[in-house]
Amino acid sequence: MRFVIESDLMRALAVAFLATAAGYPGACFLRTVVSRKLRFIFVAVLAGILLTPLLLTGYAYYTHLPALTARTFWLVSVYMGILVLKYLPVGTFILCLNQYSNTRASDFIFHSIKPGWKTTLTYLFKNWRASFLASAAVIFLLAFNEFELASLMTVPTWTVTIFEMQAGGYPLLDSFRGLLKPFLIQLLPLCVLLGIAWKWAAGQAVVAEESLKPLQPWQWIPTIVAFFGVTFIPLGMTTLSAVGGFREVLRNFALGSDILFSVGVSVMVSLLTLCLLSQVRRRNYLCALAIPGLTGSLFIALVLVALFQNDILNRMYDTPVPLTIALTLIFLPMTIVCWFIADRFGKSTSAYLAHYLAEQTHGNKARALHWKITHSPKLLVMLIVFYFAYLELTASALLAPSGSMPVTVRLYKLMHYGKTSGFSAMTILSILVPVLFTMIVLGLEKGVIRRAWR
Amino acid sequence: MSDVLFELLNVTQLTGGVVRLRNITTKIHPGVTAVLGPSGAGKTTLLNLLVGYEKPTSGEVRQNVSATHKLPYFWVPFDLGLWKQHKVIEHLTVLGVNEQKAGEWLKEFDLEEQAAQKASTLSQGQASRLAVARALASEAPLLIFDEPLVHVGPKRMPHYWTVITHYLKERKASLIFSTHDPIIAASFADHGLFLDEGTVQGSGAMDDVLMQVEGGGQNAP
Repeated sequence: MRFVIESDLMRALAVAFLATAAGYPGACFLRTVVSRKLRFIFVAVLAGILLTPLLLTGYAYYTHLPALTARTFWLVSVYMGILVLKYLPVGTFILCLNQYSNTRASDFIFHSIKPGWKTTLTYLFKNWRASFLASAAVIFLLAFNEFELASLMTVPTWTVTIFEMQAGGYPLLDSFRGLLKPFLIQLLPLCVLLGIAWKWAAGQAVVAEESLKPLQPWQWIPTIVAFFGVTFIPLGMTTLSAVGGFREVLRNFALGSDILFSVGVSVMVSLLTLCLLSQVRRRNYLCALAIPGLTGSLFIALVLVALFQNDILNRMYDTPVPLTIALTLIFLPMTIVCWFIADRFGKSTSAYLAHYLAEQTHGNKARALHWKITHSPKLLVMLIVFYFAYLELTASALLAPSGSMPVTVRLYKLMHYGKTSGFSAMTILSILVPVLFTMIVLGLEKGVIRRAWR
Repeated sequence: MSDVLFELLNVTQLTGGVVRLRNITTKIHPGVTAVLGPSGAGKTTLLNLLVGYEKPTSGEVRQNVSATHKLPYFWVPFDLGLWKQHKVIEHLTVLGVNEQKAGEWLKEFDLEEQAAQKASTLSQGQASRLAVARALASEAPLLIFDEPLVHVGPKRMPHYWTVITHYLKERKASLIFSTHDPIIAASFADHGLFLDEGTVQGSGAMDDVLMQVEGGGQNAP
């Protein structure tokens, strides 16, 4: 166990810094791009990478990797490479929040009037220090807790070890003993994140406005590589291998009940998250609620297994309740960040005027306008939660009630048998479900708004 | 209409730990009121409090605005508050104004060619004209403008002010607007309120306020 943890630590650290560095050009591009269209395309590409399930990426690649498994160094290198590409958008988005970094206006003015490599380096260090650390801390936590890809690629990590212990029927106490070191390791990046969040919330920093520069193609390169590596090639490979299997799978669709279960739980997770976010008004309480989610899905799942095996909660153990709570907690940190961003739209003067109009005139157009500005971004956040909850694997595998199986768990189990056209078709169709669900909800919303405008 | 539109009683406003308004007590009467003062004086905060966009940290804002009209007031905020993903004409039709009337308002503000454009594509001057046109199209009996037409070139400025003045006379409406420009204030306002460093330095008839300001010397806008 000791060796695994140390190598996990080094690996996660390397992924954290490499993904942050790889995300930097994209962040520069996003902050300086003038064209709205280009910015939209770039954000869509980043979102595509983030939304691609690692299960799909892992499934596409792992059947081609047996040659590597004999050489651990190459196997781990490929594993790390995929993680760097996968988490690059996280780096880009966090570095974009740099407007709250700890640079003061005077630093920028000093940098502007006295250019030179020393002042430039000082400026860059001061300007990006907080956001680099925040990005590295978040990516470290994600990489350190990664399970799906490691399991598929047979990379020995602490998450795989603990998961297999739990699945193999070892006593829960043994799993918790194994969790202690990883938990302690995660405390440092957690403290870093809390410190930075505290400083950002204090709003002491002033940002230097960067002058807008023309598009620099090199800034796209890392993101394009990540998009091809994580999304396009795996999706293409799986779709191609699925071509012959769609008809067979649709004729005899065995995953129906699994998909229904996953959709049901994910809807409950979205609703529970919405309740929490709308009821807990104080931001510091919400941030406190987000802390467990930063410790990873394995940790949360095991704590909930222990809690629901307790006499008081035991009645609910074999229900979707523990899984719903676990998924809510796991995605709460990401949701809170997205919610705060969405909430800002609702506090703008344009939202205030739309609200005022809707309240005073009761006109359909005014109400539609108010909904679009204030509530649409929040609906989008809920759909993102739905998507991620649907595709989560670790907690789903440990907490699903007996007799029900979340679709990702079924896929994960089947994936170990290798690649067939039928199974590739099942994977693609299962992943399409939350995409279709999202499109239907957004389409309905758009239809209602459009009707109100007539 | 009552003889007092707003009454501020010991109003203090803190934003992000900075005092924007300090223990202000004053009244705003019907008619045209100019809120004057240098940058950072608290003009925007005062207008934000009047419309309810901000709530005072302490003290009270009493309003006596006519509630008989569908829209008792309309506001042009500091950032114009446009709905950027919507077309220019939709900014007016959403108020319940028909397309023809909306077109007439846009024509008054030289925006008829931009009617089908999205607000996000407008220049700053066009955007500030649209914000004022939208406010007038609301037919509200009270208008609150934060630095109206600030990005508009001087050539057409008198025309736009004439449109605003005509609206006020025709509907017996009131206007509260903030400005840096004492000439605009002197030309259009009946009353003045001079703010500096979050406190009221002078208030009353516009001429008196301008005299007080000039007498005060260095803080004049």
